[in-house]
Amino acid sequence: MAAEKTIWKKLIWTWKPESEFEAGDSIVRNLLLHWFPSKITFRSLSYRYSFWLGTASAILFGILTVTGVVLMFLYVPSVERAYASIKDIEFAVAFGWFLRGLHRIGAHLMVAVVFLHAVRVFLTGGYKNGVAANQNRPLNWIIGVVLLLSTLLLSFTGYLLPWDQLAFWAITVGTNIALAAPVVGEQTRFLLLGGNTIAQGALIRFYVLHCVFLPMLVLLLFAWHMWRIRKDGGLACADQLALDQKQEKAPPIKSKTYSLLGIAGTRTVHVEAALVDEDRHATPASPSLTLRLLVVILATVLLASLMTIVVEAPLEEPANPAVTSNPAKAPWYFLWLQELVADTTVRVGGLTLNGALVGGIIVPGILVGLLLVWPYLDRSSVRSAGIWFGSDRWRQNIVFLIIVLAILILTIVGTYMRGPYWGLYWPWETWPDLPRKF
Amino acid sequence: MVAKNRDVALIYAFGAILLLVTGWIYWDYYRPEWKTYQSGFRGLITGRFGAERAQQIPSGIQQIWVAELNRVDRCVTCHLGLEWEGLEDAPNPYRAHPPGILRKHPLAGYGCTICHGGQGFATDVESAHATGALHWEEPLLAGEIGRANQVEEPKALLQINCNICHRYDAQTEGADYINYAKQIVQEKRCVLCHKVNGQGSLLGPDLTYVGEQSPEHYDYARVPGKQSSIGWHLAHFHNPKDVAPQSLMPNFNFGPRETQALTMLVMSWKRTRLPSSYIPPPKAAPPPPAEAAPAER
Ligand code: HEC
Ligand code: HEC
Ligand code: HEC
Ligand code: HEC
Ligand code: HEM
Repeated sequence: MAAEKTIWKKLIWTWKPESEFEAGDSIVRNLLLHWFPSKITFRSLSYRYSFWLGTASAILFGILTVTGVVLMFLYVPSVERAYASIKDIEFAVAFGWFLRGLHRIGAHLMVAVVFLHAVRVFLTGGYKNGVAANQNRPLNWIIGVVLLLSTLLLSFTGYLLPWDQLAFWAITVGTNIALAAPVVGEQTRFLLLGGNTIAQGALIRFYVLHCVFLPMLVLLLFAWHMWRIRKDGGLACADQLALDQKQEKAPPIKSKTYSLLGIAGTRTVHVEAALVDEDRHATPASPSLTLRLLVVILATVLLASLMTIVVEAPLEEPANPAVTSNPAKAPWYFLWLQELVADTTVRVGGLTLNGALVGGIIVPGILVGLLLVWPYLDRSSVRSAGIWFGSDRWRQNIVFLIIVLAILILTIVGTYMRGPYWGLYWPWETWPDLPRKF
Repeated sequence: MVAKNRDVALIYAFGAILLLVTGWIYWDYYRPEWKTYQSGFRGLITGRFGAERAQQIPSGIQQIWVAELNRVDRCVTCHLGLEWEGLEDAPNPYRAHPPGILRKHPLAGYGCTICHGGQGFATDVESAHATGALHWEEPLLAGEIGRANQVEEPKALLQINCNICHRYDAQTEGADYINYAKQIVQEKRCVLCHKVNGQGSLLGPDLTYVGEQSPEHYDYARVPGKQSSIGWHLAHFHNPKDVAPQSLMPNFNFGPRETQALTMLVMSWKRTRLPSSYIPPPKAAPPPPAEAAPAER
């Protein structure tokens, strides 16, 4: 070893793991990494199983926290100042456009990535328990559903803050859907807005929810989510390895004793894990997991930064309750609902079917309800846990995919094909120019 | 091991690209559009008055902040020569400002957009002048917007904004189009059919705040020019029945100068929330009835 290399190592590292055991130990003892396993299966590590979408969600949340805290120094949550402070961020603050753009793109990406993560988990049967003791993946799935809803709310509350026409009318559309809820509709909207109109009361409520309560909630739920994954013995795909081993009737696994020994020593965290032949199927988390994590972090930051440069963050005219923006659209992730509301408002003879109730409350209510209980209704075998398109889950996967596809199509129609007066336009048709003052 | 090496390679690759992206963002920060105008101005001053005078030119984003009007106007970032003597013939954005108007309306107390329109926040020409299809309601009232709407005298459009403050003057020096329109409103007795400031009849719509009317309120099916509120008014004053065939409003046979003047006048009829120090004091001569100050004033 060259001398300078030794000096470099001496400057950077106080200690270097000498064995696999020490490598695992280095993870478990690290403040930032202690919630990782000391060893991880190749399957869990692969891109093809999870696409690392959950991790990407967490990284996006991190990006949003950092950029959001800086934005808090620049943004003023008052009806008089909010819009102007965003304009200042765009035009006068050094790198302000990038800061705001990254926060905005990060938020959009996070909604999309969290959604895709949930889709991945469903299609792999990731919410199913495997073979190890004390697993409760259905609970983790429920935590996930709450995370999804919190992410949507987080993005929705942030949408109002620029206080421009886009924000104002999107929140108007969004909160009007709440009105359609039977009995509690009006109160819910009142509670959310701090009044009957979108004014200062609503702005400060959304601001506090957006900057304090919802991020804290997501952080807590995320910690719980990760803790559950450890208690569940890692990702569901690892259980398949254990099942394979049982079939092979492999001799008792060395690592079993290894793990039991751990109770007294350093490997306690491993005790509840599904027991797989670690020599064959697993690798020390340091450096395999840490390197992979770094790849995913860099890829996510890179993607978000590039998109920030390419996609301009919109900022329309200042909010004006007297002038409805045309078309008035909810944020894109609720556009499938708005589209549903528009499409389910039908008049049969003298009877008007209230679209807001069907499209805005009943359909999403049923979907969320189904999501919450689905792990308990899914009776497929343990062989379908942690496997893409498990063979005895094909029916539910197809139904699920159809629903996902319907949501995507409605979202695309609502986003790209609804022009002024909610008219339907093909993507190649240009929307008519709306008249202007001058 | 292979996977590990691939990950290390990816980390270097992504890291390098991220470094490039960071570099680009940094480089971009040092070449905003306004910098070219600032160095252009420095060149102009050096050429005309010598390097020493050029030293006095401020650099960086400049702004006039008028707290009372809740406005910040960064136009002076590029329009650097407004108060320099000897730049009356310089090209824009360096030309000295016509001095007369600024005597009663000092720049520090008024900013720019209250008269000219445009987006004060902005620091690039396109956003600041806001004449394109931007999300900004008040474009720079000057040549480009005037030509797009085919008005007789584009430069005069700015007088719309004079009249937002000077609404209750019978005549305002320097706002000849507005003055002319006020005279026509008197002569043609528009109040026979329209209510303005609480006076007049309701045969036609109340015009007190007609300038606030949303552009989508009007029907453009028969409007030949640009689809804009002022385009509609121009056509409507030219001949009301051209755009509203059922209209009771008579055709006054106005020419282009009259249609522009009246259009500008009605566009200026808006509610304003200005501090009282920005409302010109009433003149000695009594204002004409149609334009009399409303009771609450
Ligand atoms: C980034 C530099 C820049 C900024 C900021 C800027 N301008 Fe200009 N302005 C120019 C240039 C360059 C011209 C000359 C070319 C043109 O007319 O577009 C000009 C021309 C003008 C003219 C003459 C237009 C005509 O039609 O004769 C006016 C009036 C004007 N600007 C007003 C403003 C006002 C008001 C603002 C602030 C809201 C502003 N400008 C902000 C660069 C700028
Ligand atoms: C009180 C109203 C008022 C204010 C405030 C004002 N201007 Fe002007 N400005 C005028 C008038 C009136 C003219 C003359 C227009 C004409 O030539 O017809 C003018 C002319 C100009 C011109 C020359 C346009 C040309 O045709 O070459 C420029 C550029 C300009 N103003 C920029 C500014 C800027 C920048 C500010 C803010 C620092 C400002 N003005 C503030 C009223 C105002
Ligand atoms: C923000 C409101 C405001 C705008 C816009 C404005 N003015 Fe004024 N103007 C005033 C006030 C206030 C005074 C009285 C100042 C004083 O007496 O010290 C005044 C004074 C004047 C005077 C002096 C004679 C008098 O009546 O006292 C003239 C002439 C004038 N303005 C012309 C114009 C023109 C032309 C424009 C448009 C280019 C214009 N003003 C735009 C507020 C405004
Ligand atoms: C004989 C009655 C009559 C007279 C006189 C008259 N108008 Fe009208 N005006 C109407 C009627 C009726 C309408 C509504 C139908 C239409 O849009 O033409 C109207 C519409 C308007 C509008 C459009 C208002 C809006 O936003 O929809 C304006 C502006 C207007 N008049 C201005 C004037 C002016 C300025 C005069 C004086 C030069 C005038 N009118 C004289 C009857 C009249
Ligand atoms: C803020 C949002 C979320 C974050 C940060 C997050 C994070 C993670 C991470 C890091 C993993 C490890 C595997 C991977 O990277 O894919 C994971 C797994 C998991 N997530 Fe999430 N998640 C979120 C939302 C959700 C949602 C919306 C659901 C379901 C509705 C969900 C259900 C699960 C389940 C069941 C697992 C275990 C999957 C398996 O064992 O294969 N999570 N999550």
